[in-house]
Amino acid sequence: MTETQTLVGFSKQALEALSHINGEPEWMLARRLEAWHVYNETPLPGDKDELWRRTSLQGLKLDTVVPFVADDPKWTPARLPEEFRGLAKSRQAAGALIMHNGRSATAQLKPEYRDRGVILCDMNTALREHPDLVREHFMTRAVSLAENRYARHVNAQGVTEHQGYSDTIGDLKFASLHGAFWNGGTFLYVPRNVVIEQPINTLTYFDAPEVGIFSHSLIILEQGASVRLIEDLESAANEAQRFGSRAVELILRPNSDLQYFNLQDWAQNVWDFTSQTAILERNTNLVWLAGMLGSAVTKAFLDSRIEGSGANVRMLGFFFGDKEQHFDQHTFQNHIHPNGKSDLLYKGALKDKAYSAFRGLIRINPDAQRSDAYQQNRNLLLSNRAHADSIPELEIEANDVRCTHGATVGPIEEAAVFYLMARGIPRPEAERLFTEGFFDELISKVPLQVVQDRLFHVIRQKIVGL
Amino acid sequence: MANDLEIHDLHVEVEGKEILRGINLTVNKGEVHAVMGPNGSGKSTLANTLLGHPHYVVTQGDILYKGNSVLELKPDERARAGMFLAFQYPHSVSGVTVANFLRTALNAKRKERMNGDFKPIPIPEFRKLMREKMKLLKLDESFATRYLNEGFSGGEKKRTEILQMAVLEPEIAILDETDSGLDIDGVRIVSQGVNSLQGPNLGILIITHYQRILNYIKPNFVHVLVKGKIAVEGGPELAHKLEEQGYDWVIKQVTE
Ligand SMILES: Nc1ncnc2c1ncn2[C@@H]1O[C@H](COP(=O)(O)OP(=O)(O)O)[C@@H](O)[C@H]1O
Repeated sequence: MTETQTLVGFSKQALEALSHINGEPEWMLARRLEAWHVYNETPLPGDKDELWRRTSLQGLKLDTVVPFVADDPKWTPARLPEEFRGLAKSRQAAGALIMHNGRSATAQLKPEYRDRGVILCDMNTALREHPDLVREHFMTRAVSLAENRYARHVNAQGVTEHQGYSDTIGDLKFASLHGAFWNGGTFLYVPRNVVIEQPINTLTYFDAPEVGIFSHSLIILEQGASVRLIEDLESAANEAQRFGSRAVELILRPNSDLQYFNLQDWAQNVWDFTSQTAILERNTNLVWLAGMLGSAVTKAFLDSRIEGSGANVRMLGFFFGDKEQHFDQHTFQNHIHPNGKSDLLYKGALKDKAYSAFRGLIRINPDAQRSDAYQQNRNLLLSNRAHADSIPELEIEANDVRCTHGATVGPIEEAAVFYLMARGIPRPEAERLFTEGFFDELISKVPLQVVQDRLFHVIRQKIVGL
Repeated sequence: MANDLEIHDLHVEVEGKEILRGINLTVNKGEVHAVMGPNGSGKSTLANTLLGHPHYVVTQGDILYKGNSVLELKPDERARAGMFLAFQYPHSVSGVTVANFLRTALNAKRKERMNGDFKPIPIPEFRKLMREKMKLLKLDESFATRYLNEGFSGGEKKRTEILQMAVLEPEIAILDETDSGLDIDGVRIVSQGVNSLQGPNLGILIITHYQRILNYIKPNFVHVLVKGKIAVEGGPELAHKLEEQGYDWVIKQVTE
């Protein structure tokens, strides 16, 4: 093992050291430096920023972040805490990947799929063994730094092309930091017409104090491919704050079919920043669940880009905050090509002093005729100190479209609780039943039983207050 | 031996306004009592107070169940002790199936009875129980998987209330306007359901404005509630008198 000095804070030197221990090709170092440049050019968003007003960065400590640690060759999945050990090893799984502190990884894939060209490994390995695939897709189309996707676009003639948001840096600050310091994460490649029935599981686990989370998930489905992927994100609770800027890129080539479940369950000392983008080409189908269970603060940007005719995406969001958890989520249903359908349902419950902001943007570009776009955000307040804001935004630039949206924020219905109690059900269980009922609409749309069970389990845990 | 349900000089306020003004009433297992009265006399207030709805404040008097006051007990504790209220307007609970709800309620009761060595009711046993009781109330089996009262017709809601009663087997059941909003067939089905549960282990308190349901569920005692007080009491013949002559003569009696 080579001695690597533990660096603290973000710097060009730290970036180069990371690239070096990864043994990266020149072009990746160049991309990191480019991202580092964007990061330095972009100000830290403040409360004047349209999209950051609801999340204060005042308590955020970037100086003390350890950007990466060296491999721990002694670590094996057997060292995972009991409660997480089961997550990434289901007997029915087609494959599994376990990652520790952004580095050490073990990957398993059924030989029948390996033989057919499916690739499942961590991103550092992918960069070594499949550099061309990574080079083509890594932050080039999906989570790209080339433009600020959220900002208003005015062309050279002074005409507003996209309304967007007037004064915002969008996700650029933290996405660029991710581009500079990304480390580890899931790489999954499914070749043409390969259909994988059983799900693939990954587990990302962090326990070294103050090590930043820079996982990058890059999922590529070639034409006619089909796969289901469950990603579990867990971390040990430490005293010190942990910072994370993670990214997810889902690339769906024509006629491919993906079910993607991302379950963020960090300990509540984590500041979780994330940019996630799905690219949907012609006639693709995506079911995408973003689960936000853990973290102190989550700031998420979740985009679906319909880039081919007839693509169909269902965006599902599950969040459940307790104590002082703070979730701030932006979704973007971006219809660029015609005949697409996007159907979004984000549901969350908030307990204690938890807070949620949801801001959902639907954009139907002029060429995207015959688009269907739906958006629903529903919030259940389980305490009178919990709070939720919900803001839908529509930019419809085509005329032959169907589009609806709705938002609700409300407390538990006391009349329902009394009804349940009058049948002998104690209050905590009555509240659990009511809350499960609230989430049923969402969970029943999750097409995988294990994920459904997991979510019901989370509800029980959160209600009982474990 | 203590009475099963004993209501003593019960005074109840809602939002600072006194609605019940000294009710006395005793119900024992094996008996059927009817509380009748004009609209606004306090019938629903009585029903909800018995189960401990937080909206209703007892300012005087007591409610004794098997000799012990229940005033300090929460609604769920009263229910597990054996009290049951069939609601006039059952609330809907989205996303919670009838089966899930009833299994949870049944298990809550078992848990209390079995103390330390509680085991949830086995699913096959529960399914069998549900099927049996749903048949009794002429509810289609699909109701088990429907969300509780969501989109139910008036009649379906009332039948589901009695289904719950059949499954939970209370000792004192209060039926609040269980006949309201039902057509004749509906009244018959619901009444048949209630009658099949009658016996030495069940005391029933039917609250109703109209005499109609009493043609099917025969009361032993009739109490007439007017302006928060029991004005007249008697046997089943009193219900017929009210049916023929209305409530005016009782109201007159009270105001005089
Ligand atoms: N939630 C409430 N707030 C204020 N007044 C109420 C409330 N519920 C009932 N009341 C009043 O209490 C009285 C009795 O009502 P209720 O018990 O519903 O009578 P009944 O069931 O006999 O029609 C009525 O005058 C009614 O207006």
